[in-house]
Amino acid sequence: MSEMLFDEVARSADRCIKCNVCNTACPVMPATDLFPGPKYCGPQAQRHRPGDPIEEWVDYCSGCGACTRACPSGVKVAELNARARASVYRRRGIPLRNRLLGRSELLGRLGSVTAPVANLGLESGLGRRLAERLIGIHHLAPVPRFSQGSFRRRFRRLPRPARPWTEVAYFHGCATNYYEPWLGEGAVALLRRLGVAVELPPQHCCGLPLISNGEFDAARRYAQRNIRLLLPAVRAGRRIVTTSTSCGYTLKAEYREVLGIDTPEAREVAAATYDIFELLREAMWEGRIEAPRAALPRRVLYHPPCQLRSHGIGVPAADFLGSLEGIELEESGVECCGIAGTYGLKREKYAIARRVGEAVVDRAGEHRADVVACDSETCRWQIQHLTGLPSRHPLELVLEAMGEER
Amino acid sequence: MPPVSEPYDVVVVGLGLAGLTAALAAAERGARVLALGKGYGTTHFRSGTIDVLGHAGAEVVGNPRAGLAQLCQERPEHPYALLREELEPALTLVRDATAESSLELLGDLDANRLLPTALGTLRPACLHQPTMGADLRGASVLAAGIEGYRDFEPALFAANLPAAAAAHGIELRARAARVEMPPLRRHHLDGPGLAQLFEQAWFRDQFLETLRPDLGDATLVALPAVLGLRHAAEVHAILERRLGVPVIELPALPPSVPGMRLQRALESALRVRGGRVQVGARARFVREGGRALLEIAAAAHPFRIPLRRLVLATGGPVSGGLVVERSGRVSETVAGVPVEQPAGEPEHWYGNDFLGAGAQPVSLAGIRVDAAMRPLGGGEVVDPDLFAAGGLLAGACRSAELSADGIACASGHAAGREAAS
Repeated sequence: MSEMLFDEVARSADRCIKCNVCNTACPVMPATDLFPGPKYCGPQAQRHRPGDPIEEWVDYCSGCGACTRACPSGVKVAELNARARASVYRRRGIPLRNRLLGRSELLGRLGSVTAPVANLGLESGLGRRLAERLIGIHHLAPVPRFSQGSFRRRFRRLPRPARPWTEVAYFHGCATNYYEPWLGEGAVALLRRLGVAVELPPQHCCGLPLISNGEFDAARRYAQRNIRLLLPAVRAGRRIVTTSTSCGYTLKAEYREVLGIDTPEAREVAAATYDIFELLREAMWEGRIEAPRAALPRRVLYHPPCQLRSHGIGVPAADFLGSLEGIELEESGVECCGIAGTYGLKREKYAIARRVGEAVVDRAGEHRADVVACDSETCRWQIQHLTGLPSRHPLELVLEAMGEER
Repeated sequence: MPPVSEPYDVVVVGLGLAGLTAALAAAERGARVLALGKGYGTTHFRSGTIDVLGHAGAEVVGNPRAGLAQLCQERPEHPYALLREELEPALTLVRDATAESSLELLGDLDANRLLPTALGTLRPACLHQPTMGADLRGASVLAAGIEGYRDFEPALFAANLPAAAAAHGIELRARAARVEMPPLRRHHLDGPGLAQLFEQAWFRDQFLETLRPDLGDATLVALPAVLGLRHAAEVHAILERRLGVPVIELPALPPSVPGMRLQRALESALRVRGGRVQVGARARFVREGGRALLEIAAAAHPFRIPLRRLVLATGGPVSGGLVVERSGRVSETVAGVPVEQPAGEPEHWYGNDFLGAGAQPVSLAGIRVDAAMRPLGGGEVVDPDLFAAGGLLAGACRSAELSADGIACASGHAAGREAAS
């Protein structure tokens, strides 16, 4: 762990001029009295944190990062808050609920081998009430269904492109592997159609759920393992491609900025990591591939996940979707759908996350959308839950337009 | 080199008034536009008015159009000298765009209006939001603060206002009241938070109920500018109707609620015209083998956007578009275009009278442009695809002149149009 990097984030607090612009961007602050806002939790409280912080309200920060992006002075507000949350948990202990939610890989493994039974539990009202009582996961919160058979297993059967112009290593993340294996198959199919070969390096959960739930030590172990497992592909000249913008952002930035892993290897992996549409858009702009000539006569609201916004790469999926014929595409312009990973699943935060997400519901209504496109799994589950509309990864929509049978 | 497609015709760096106006002007002409900034722009720090020209030396300007004619004659190096014909269409564009979000901007170039400030002074503004102006003559003003909201002190306002108004020949009385809202005890109150509360009926009801006993003979109620964000016009109308007297808003400390209204309305108009907005992007302009690229400091590896035309609207030293280096040199931060340096030695760049006319020679530094808003270096166009607007431009003393918004709109309008042509 590098002390120097810890400084880079911690010292950014000194650039705060107390202008409160971060507060104007925070989607949680207007939705609850319990969170005093990013400025107070972040740069303001940072001055009083020689040791462990004592404040509990930082736990109400959802970690969406809107404050960091809004700050004109370059203060890493959200990152300061993530660290403060971890030290609050270090002091008072991590609840069982957070330990469970942090371990999406373990949950996925258990759930997918026992899928029929596990899904029954998830779908039964009684099961959900019990889960709320016993561990504090709100009974209405949007949780996915386990899939029978993981994506990694299905991958072996997928065809490769005839003459690929590049080969990438796919970091699928837990949700694709255990809940939405079709998304991984779709990613491989889209990449194949566009001349990109895919290999599947061994990998673990990126660690973001552990970061959000305050378990930095466990998250660091995942991070170190992933760096070690992904490095050979990177050194062989392959880029790491992600279809979940939250896993992608964790590999790109959070290992360094939040967990403080600032090794050359971590930087190498980060520098090679690309969101799938970031890669395809770059290829399109450089003239390597052509935008698919396909039509999608649908009214699509595109909601860029908060984690994607933190990548700082604009909206590559929308740049790609926008080239489809007949599409009525609008961007949500909303900072966050509220779920922020596992935040909105929690009993005490479900209602807050719902209020935050109302803005997306309004935008979908205004646009008369028939589908909401979004690149992050938990956001899609939340959006589907709140709007009643189907929510799809943009790559699913591109494939639909290209007439790919799935 | 492989065939290259530029996804955007015009990229604008800077999300303040100049940047948003430039982006809108370009989008109006059918250009594919991306506007980005390292964070939110100065709209969040300013009053949400459009100040074109408020002061000429120590004099208050009554008619900005006439004041401009004189200014341009006396100071041909002032940015307005290139922009006189640009102001009218620029203000029309901004006004029409904000109206789409139900944010009206009142006033015109022929008259400044004196608006009360939170400190109880009066300042001239060219365009203002309908919630800000009222006839002050003979008024009995009740200034109401909200307990716990520390960014507006009604007693200070009420103590200063009569003398400040008298200096402009206006007689009035003023007194202060404080409204205590019990359910707010746990909040730390700030403007945007209150604005959101004012959009809720239960809060307004309770506020009105608590304020009413203090109303007395008041013919005008002055409140901090927190009366809603998206629905300000509606909230304002409800308060006036229920109180039975005119209500005005006083812009208080940042973050400025009226400024946020302006920014949100302009951003929404830009999106409606197909423009994209990216917040939180630090950018650098590079040319590589003739290709124009904007390099964004994205997570882990830079994100490079091929582009045709770039508008720099990054502001002056306060906003970070210009930086005054320790060596005593002012430089431009995104494209490294030449900066006209302040006159004299660095120790004479700053004066003691913070906002006084000509007191801060450093503020005259900036970029010189041609009539198409293209930056010049040694009299030559630096790069035919670069344009500049707003706080970056050399030759104005914006805080003393109260000219920042007018320069931003006019130069943004010109730069956006030229970049899209």
